[in-house]
This record gives sequence, C-alpha cells and structure tokens, in this order.
Amino acid sequence: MKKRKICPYLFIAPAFMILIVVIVYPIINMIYQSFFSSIAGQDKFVGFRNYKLALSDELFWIALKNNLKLFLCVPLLTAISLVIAAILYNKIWGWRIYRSFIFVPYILAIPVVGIVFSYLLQYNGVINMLLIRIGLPGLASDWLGDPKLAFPSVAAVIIWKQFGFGVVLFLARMMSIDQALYESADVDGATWMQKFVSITIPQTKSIIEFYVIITLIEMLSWVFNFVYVLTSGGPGNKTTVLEYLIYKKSFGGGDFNIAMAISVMLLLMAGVLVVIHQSILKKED
Amino acid sequence: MGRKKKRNIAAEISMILLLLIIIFPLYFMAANSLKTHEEYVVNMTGLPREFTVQNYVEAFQGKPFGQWIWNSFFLTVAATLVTAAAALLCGYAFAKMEFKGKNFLFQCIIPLMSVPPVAMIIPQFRLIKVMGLVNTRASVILIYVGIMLPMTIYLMRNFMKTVPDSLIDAARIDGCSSLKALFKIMIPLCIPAVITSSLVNIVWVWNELLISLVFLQKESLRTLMVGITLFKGRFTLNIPVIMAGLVIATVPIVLVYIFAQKYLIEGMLAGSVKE
Repeated sequence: MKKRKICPYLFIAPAFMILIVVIVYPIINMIYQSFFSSIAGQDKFVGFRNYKLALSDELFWIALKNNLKLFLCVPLLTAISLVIAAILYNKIWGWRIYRSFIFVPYILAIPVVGIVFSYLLQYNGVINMLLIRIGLPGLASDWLGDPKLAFPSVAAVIIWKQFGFGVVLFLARMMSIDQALYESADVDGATWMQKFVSITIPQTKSIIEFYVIITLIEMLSWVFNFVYVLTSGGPGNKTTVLEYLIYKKSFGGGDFNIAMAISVMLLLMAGVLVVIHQSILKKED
Repeated sequence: MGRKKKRNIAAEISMILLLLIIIFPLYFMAANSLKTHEEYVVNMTGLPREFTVQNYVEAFQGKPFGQWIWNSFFLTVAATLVTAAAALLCGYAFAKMEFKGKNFLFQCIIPLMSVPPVAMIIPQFRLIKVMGLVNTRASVILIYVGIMLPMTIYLMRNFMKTVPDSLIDAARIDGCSSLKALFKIMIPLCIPAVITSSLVNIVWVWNELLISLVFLQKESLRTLMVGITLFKGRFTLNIPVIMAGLVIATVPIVLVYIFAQKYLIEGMLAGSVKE
C-alpha cells in the first residue's frame, strides 16, 4: 500500500518543482535581498534601509499614483463592458459578429497594439490628421508626448485592448439568466432600463465582483508592456508605473536591492487583492 | 431586455461605431503594409492605390525575420507542450487522488497566478545564471512553463473534477494503476481541456515580450515580439515596412482565433487571471 501514498506526490512533483524554481524561490530571494545591500560584491544586512530609500524616492510615489490612477480604468471598463454586453444580449442583428470582433483586441500582442497606436497618436499621425480634416485643428496634439495627455492616452489604449474581455465575460453570464424573470417583468410593463437595473445587474453581480478584482490586479501587475512600448514611462515620468520603476531600477544601472524592496511592496499590494479574489472564489464554490 | 429579435436602430448604430473603433487600427496596419513609403506620407488612411508586397520582402531580406518567427514558434510549441504535460499529471492528482496536504497545496497555486513577472525577473536571472542557462531557449521555456502552470493546473483540475469517478474505479478494478487510468481514460476525456488551456498558452507565449527581452540577449535567439519592438527603432523612417512586420506577427494569432474561437474564449474566461 505504500506505493499508493507516494503516487500522488509523484504526479504533482514535476509541476511543483518548476513552480518552486520559477516563482516560489524568486519570491523568497526577492524578500531576502530587499533587506540586504550589495557592497563590493558582498551582501550586507541593512534592515529596512532599502524600503526607506524607496519610500523617500519621489519616483516611487509618482509610480504608485499612476497605478492608482489606472485603477480608475476599472469602473470605466466595467461600465463599458456591461452596457455593450447588455446591448448584444438583446440579440440585435448580427450580435455574434460583433461579439467576435469585440474580442479581437484582447488577443493581440501588446507590442503590436502599442506600435500601431504610437503611429496613430504621434503629432503628425492619423488622429491629428483626422482632427484637422474635420475642422478641429485646435485639438491636434502630441498625444503620447504631452505631459498632460500621455497618461490618458496610455489608459485609452489599455481600455481599447482590454474591454472585449469584459463584454464576453458578462455576455456569457447574461445568457444563463432565467428567461422567466424577463418575461414576468414584461408582463408588468417594465422598461429596458428597469429590467437592466433590477434583473441583469443583480443576476451578474457575482461575476462583476470577480471581474473588478482581476482587472485591479491587472492594472497593478500586468501593465508593464503597455508602458514599455508606448512611452517608456515618459514624458517626465508621467506614465511610470511601479512595474516599470522596478524594471528601470533593476536594469538601468540603479540599485537592484531597492528594486527588490519595491517589488516586495508591489507583491503585498497584489496580495491584498488576491486575498479578496480568493474569498470571492470560495463564495462561488 | 427580452431576447426577441427586433431591430433596434440606436443599438445597431452604436455597435457599428464601436466596430469601426476596433477595426480602424487593424485596418491602418494592414492597409499601410501594402503601400510604398512615398504613398504612406501622402495617403495615411486610404486604401493603397498601388498594392506592393515589397515591404514584406524587405522585412524578410534585410532583417532576421524568419529567424525571429522560428524562435517564437519553437518557444511557443515547447513551452505549451511541457505545460500541458505537467499540468495534466498535477491536475489529475488534485482532481482524482487523495493525499495529505492536497487542499493546502491546491490553495497555494491560485495566488501564484497574479505575481507580477517584472518583480521576479532579477532573482530568476540569478538562478538561471547558477544553472548555466543564460541566453538559452531552455531558460525561457522554463520560466514560461512556470508562469503558465498555475492557471493550466487550475483549469485541468476543474475539468477533471467533472469526469465521473466511476470511470476511473472501473479501470482500477480491471487492475489498472493510476498512471494507466490516466492514460487510458482521463487523457482522452481531457482533450478538450488540453486544447482549451493550450490555446490560451499559445497566444500568451507568442505575444510575450518582457521575459524574452531580458533572457534572450543573443541576436540569433530573439523572438518576434522583441524583434518588432527593436525593428521599430531601426526602420523608423519606413513605416510601411514596420506595418508589414506587425502584420506578420499578428496573422498566426488571428488564424488561431478564427479556427478555434470557441475554445480560446472558453479558456480565457475560465482562467482569467492573467494577460
């Protein structure tokens, strides 16, 4: 019978060995290194010095503020996706085709999307050309180079690429709503808006919660590529996010122990969201 | 809100506008990849007046485009296969076997899905150096597999849970060991789950930028995504050639989407914690 007991562990061993090497050990090493400083090739324990240095760096706060500003995309993405899903749910003519196209940006590579948009948004790019053509030359701007506009422009590209996911997610849930609910509301003479607010939203509530949390995690942990390709954090750090700051401190000749301290803080923030995510998943089970 | 088929003009117009916003950047990329640079300067938004495939020829001639495509293809296939194999075994154990610490270990996997890759890169790099794998495909495959595993295990386990135990018990009575039960009964039943999760993984690896950028510094090992990002710098003046490169990088993913839309969407919705 001993074989029986070892067997499950043999099954999970390859996956866990890889996870330990690729994720678990690096996290432990990151936490460890965040308390050390590399002086002449020797690791020296410095307590919270790296954290203090990180927190006293103005760039850290700029990057954190930008991540928090990106959180504002979440309600926007949720609202846009919900409304589009609700429109498609009415089975308007050709809704399957719309759904197919709406998902396309989500599967495209961020470098591809980023490069295309950088040509659309540059000063002598297409967006400005169209603005001039329709008689609004005053609105033409350097969308990614202007300190005021760079951040909203990056956010708009993120929304363009990501919204399709929410639409398809919400639409899938709406399709499983009991039709009898709508039929009885129809009998009562409810309007589209009334049905949307009192049936569709409550019925999709749990999936909306789930979506909000994973999108918040994305805005914190998975936006590096957008920033790297579109603006490299500029102009004047207006679009620097925590991930990009870690990258710059790690590879730009900066102090990588400080980068590790910032990484730990980013991980803690993501951790809070993960705990909320987990509790929602458990509720679903 | 009923699901009646009635034409709603306002809704249709807004959807068509939305469709234009989605399609325009893609149209811009495709149309301009077929123009000469001279035409692009004077005609950015129109269809090409004279179609030319010269940009595609140039992309392949001057630059190691074919090499980049091969590198991306190799990494995508290898990482996806290794992930599927490890996740199948692991998912089977979590779904169908009893062992100490099972729930705890499974609970540990889910949070790993949301660790920011940027944060782990330096420790990973040091580890890869110790292992003597700097600038090798193996290093990147290992990291890709590690990043994809949590979601893939999660999907496989959930799918295998839906396979009735009676099927496996029948195999056990016949004297099959667990491994045989897995190969004879679970794998055939799991093909949809394998396809679904692998499609998500294929798209992710093909589109990945950061890890290949950092770990594959050798020109001959560069992936397509890193290539086109650098490409932009080298060909800044010839935008149609850049657009041709982007089209080449996008076509495989669009083909996957066209032929396997249902599975791909299903997989992305089911394991939706990462890009």
